[in-house]
Amino acid sequence: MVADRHDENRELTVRRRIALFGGLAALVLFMAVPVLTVCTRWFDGKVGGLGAGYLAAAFAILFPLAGAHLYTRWANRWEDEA
Amino acid sequence: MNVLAVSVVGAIVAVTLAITSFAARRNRSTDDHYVAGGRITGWQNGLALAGDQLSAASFLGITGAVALTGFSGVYLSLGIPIAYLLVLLVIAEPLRNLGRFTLADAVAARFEGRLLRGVLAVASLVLSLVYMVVQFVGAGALAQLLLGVSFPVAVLGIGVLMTLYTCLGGMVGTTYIQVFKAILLIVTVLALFVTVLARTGGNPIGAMVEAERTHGAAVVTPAHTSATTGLSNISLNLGMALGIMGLPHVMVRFLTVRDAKAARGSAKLAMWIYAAFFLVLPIFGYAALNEVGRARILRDNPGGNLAVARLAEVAGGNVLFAIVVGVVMATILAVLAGLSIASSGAAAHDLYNIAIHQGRMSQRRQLAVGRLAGIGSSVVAIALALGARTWNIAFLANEAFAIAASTTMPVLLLTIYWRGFNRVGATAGLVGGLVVSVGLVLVGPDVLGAHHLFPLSVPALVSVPAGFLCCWLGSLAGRGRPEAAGVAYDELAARAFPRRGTRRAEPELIG
Repeated sequence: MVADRHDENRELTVRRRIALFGGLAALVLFMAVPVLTVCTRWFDGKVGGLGAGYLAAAFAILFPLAGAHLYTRWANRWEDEA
Repeated sequence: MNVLAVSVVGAIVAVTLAITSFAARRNRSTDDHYVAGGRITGWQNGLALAGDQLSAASFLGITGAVALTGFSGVYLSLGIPIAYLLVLLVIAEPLRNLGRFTLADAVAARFEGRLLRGVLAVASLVLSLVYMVVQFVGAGALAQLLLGVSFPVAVLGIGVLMTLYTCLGGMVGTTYIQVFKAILLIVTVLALFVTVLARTGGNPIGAMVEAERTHGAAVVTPAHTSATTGLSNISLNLGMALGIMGLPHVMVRFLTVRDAKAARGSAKLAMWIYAAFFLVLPIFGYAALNEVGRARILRDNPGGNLAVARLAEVAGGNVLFAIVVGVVMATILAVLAGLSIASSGAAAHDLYNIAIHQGRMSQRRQLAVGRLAGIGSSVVAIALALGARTWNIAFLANEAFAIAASTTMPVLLLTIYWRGFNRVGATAGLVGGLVVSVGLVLVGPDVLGAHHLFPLSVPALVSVPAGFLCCWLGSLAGRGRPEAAGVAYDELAARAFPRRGTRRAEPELIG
């Protein structure tokens, strides 16, 4: 009974940590794009004819898709596991 | 008058009215009216989320902002995909498991109290009203261009349609209309993109290259004009990334699905649509600058809100122009319908039924009051829109994100994740966050112009920490009051988060 309760609490802790730390990491990675494009000149140039600023913007738009894919795959497995 | 464009708009309105009529037969209870009875599938909700989120502010405002301000406009297109990743990771599942009709229901799963419920309802109403004003301004500007009718007449016409949709069809009708609009918008954006591509020799970045050649490198590179401009862009993105988690009309969509898996699947589908949409909008902005010209865009509307419609006219002729105008009108109607449902839920369910009548109203009376509240919020939003007609609506929408990120978002987040949070902290966070964020908007440049007292038009950089600080200080103040502690945190967390093996243990939930 006590062991079950302990496992249950540990599961909830894991779940909450993934949500909060995953969310915080994603937010920091995202905010790096506007902060760096505003505060530095690193993205003022060009990469293959395309503005580096637009490439950074495209990264900010696209990387959340990878995060969503990884999370949904993990969460679906988590719920399916017995 | 452009007869073809009017015909397309008329046809789209006729289809939406037919959808509403069909949905009205399934809109019988408060569950149906506010959350479509929880029967919406993942893919339907994903399309409806896209229909709800991809507003006139995005389609019209971002294109216009890129055409008029260059790369500074691109900042407006960054925040939505990350915002939905945060929704997916942090809020969607617990909200789906704790909530019933509104955001306040999820908070009430931990903290009872009429004052808190009332404050949450007021915050939700303020957020929905600001967002409704954005949609009405877009609708009015577009109808002026299309029909030559006055701005007030156009806004009133749209208001009547919105009220019909939500009063009769409820969330069922709103969902179907949002799905219909999302499909229309995807097809139209694709058609416009192909047309723009054809004019730039098939080069996806041809419009940007041409804009740089014609107008100089400054239009495609980040501006470093002043510290205030830079901070504004950072604040804007912080508000967008965090604000969606607190927007009632978006978050309520996660209460319409059957289970947590459907909630996740719908967010993921919506994110794919957003990514494609926000990658091409800057291209449309540069194409509008090249093809339509800055002077013409400014003459149509000082905020640049009609740039995308003009681009469609120049690039694809009257047929594409008519389709874009029709789809933008459908976009506005669909978003307004979602906003109206969320605001009527806050007014009728949270404020009137729970905060005032302590939850004693009958189902039938709740439904009637919900419909009346929808009409009331529409009237207030129309009155406010009449005073905001010249504003760039993308910036106005971002102020709504900042207010949400400073009020409802911290309270929802801490309710779900912080053991030490209590009812006093929740109330203090809502009131403090609302006062600081709305106050800073009112003394900022969008309202006071050159005589502003606060330099940023989007106050998230200051107001979000202020919202969290108020929550923390309030929680410290309420720590010695047992009645403010609410439901035991472990009990709430067990309800909020799906456990390992949940779906195997409860296969009927898969639906």
